[in-house]
Amino acid sequence: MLRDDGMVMDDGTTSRLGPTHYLMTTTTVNAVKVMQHLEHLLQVDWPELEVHVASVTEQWAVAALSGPRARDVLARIVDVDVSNMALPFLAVASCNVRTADALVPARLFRMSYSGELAYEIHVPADRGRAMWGAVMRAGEEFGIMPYGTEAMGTLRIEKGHVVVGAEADGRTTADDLGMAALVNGGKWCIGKPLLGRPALTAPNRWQLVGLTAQDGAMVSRGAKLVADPDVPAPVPIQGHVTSWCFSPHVDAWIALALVANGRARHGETMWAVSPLADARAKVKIGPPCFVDRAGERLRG
Amino acid sequence: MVGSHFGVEAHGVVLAELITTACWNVQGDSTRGEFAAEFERHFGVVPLPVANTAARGERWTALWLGPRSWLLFADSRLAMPTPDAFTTTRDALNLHGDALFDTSTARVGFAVGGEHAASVLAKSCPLDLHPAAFAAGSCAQSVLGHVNVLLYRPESTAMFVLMAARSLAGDVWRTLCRSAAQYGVDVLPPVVFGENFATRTASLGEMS
Repeated sequence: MLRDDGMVMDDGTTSRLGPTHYLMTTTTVNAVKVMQHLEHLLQVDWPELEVHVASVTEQWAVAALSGPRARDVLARIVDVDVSNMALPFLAVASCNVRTADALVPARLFRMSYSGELAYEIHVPADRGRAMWGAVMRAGEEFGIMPYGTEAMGTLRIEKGHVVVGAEADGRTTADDLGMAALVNGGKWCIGKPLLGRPALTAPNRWQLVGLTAQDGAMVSRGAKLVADPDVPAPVPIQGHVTSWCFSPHVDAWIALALVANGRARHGETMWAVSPLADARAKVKIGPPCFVDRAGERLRG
Repeated sequence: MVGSHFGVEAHGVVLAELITTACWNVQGDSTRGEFAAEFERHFGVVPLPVANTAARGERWTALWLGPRSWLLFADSRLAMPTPDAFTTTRDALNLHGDALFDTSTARVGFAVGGEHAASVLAKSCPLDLHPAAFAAGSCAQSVLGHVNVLLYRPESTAMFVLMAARSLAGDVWRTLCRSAAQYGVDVLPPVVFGENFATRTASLGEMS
């Protein structure tokens, strides 16, 4: 979702549930803002449209079931076919979940915040605990365990999934974030006209890249990227780190960052410096995805 | 929790959980000539055009949320509307460009009654809740502290209904108990939406 000026405003999903029925999700912190945005558009910009919007944030309890055995667990508790053929990546299905004492109506969304085989299970909010119990019992034989926001953060950084507030900080376009294809299709959308402004198509725009710290160093969020930190100040800044974590997959500190002309600079090394923390790390620029670049886990 | 007493040795306030079953949001163009008649056909109640008013029918109570939005609460003493009933109603409304949303589990409800009910709410809610300003049959969206709430004063009772987002239920409960402690609070068994609230308030002998 773009602002009028072309900058990325929000990052969410929209699913079609019926001929004239859609479910939209937003990034958590923008739930109210997006709702207000939609209401404003319908009341002010396009009052002629017969569209109605209601917040259902509290109506549903949702669990994200992720990992290589996610399908096996899901198959044990729902009454629909969840094979890859029947429920491929980005599919939606209605079903029932078998909980301890009742069949609970549910919706399944095959989508993944963590970039792997995963499903979102949506049930009415007063059946959330029952659904959670059913999932955990079904997953016991596979070693299922709950995971929190720190793990979620690591997984999404490893996959290069951008986050509003970090990569999408109000100053980045979809193209900066490597998502130009979402906007470049033939159709019009809010923000598209102003994306043609010269500054937004300039050659040296800061673009999303991945960084891998060298020599066991640690990168910190907000670190500035420079070619040589030891030249006399002012040192030319060529980018900054937007998200960082230790990646068990890569066995190194990694980061997502915005770097001037970043997509053309894979393979280069730079320095990520944090003067306030008196820290520096040599980093290598690469694609903003460290795991399963082909998306086999995601779509399999 | 039910049967508990908080605060001073007095019985100035009663609190109870409010049980609701179906809660549907109707959104539509009330300026369309047939809208009110169709609404009444579906729900047995006329969608009042006056802001912040509620209309009670045999099966449904309609609370005004906005010029094109009403929140319908089923009489929860009756059998819950089936998923098919929801789908049929929604499809019929869609034909005219209107919409129906199921928000049955989105909110939790509380009933607040007793001599000092209005004072308790007034501590955290900026609305004027005096009966002259918030008469029976009134409803309004406001805040209780930092939490969005829907307030409703049913007919024939001095009790208030307070609806809040499910995830903030605990927050709202704590606010109510703390606010009411100085008057003495009794926790009654759950009240079912649609029942005669006045009889509940009378159950402990205090005025309603």
